[in-house]
Amino acid sequence: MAIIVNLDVMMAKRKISSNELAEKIGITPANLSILKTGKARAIRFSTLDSICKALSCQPSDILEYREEDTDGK
Amino acid sequence: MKKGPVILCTIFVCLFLALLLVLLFLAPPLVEAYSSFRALSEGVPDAILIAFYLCAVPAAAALLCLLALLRTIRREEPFAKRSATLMSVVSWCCVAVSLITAGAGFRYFPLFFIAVAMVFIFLIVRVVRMCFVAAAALKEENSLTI
Repeated sequence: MAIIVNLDVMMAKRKISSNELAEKIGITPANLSILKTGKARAIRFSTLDSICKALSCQPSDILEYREEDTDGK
Repeated sequence: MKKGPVILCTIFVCLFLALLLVLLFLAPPLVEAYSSFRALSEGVPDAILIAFYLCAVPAAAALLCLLALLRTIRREEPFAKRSATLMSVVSWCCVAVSLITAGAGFRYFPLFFIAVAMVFIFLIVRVVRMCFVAAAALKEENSLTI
């Protein structure tokens, strides 16, 4: 997908563990892992709001658009 | 989800399986009694019996698939890919029974009605299967929305 989730970068910058963040934003560590690994199909505004609040950042710090090659790579 | 109807369906499927098993042994005398009652011409009872034994295999497969499908519903995970596969097996079992009874219908005409009914059930199961596939895709989409 052309949308890249940079959640792990922001987590490293804020020195916060997955379990801690999952607890703060009220989702399960398994769902956070889906989000981090880019397997998620969509993200709710409420989840994005909680993440931005917990990491004190902007949505653009977490989500990035990278144009795909024509062959999908 | 209400478990009552699912349990009731499971009981009925088990009863039909038991009935099928009993009929495997009782079919010859029953067909003989029926043929003497209706005064069927020679060869017709054999055609009915052969059709019955050939239909018993897909019928048993369909009933076992229904049991497995009911189990997934009881576990509250009906919209899985496995359900669609099971429904596909059930639908093709209906086609198999339809073909067998259509073939036997040339010897004993009323069997054609079973063939037509089976094609109708095949269509219903295929449509329900398509709904299940669509629901499984929606569920996957929903579970991957964080």
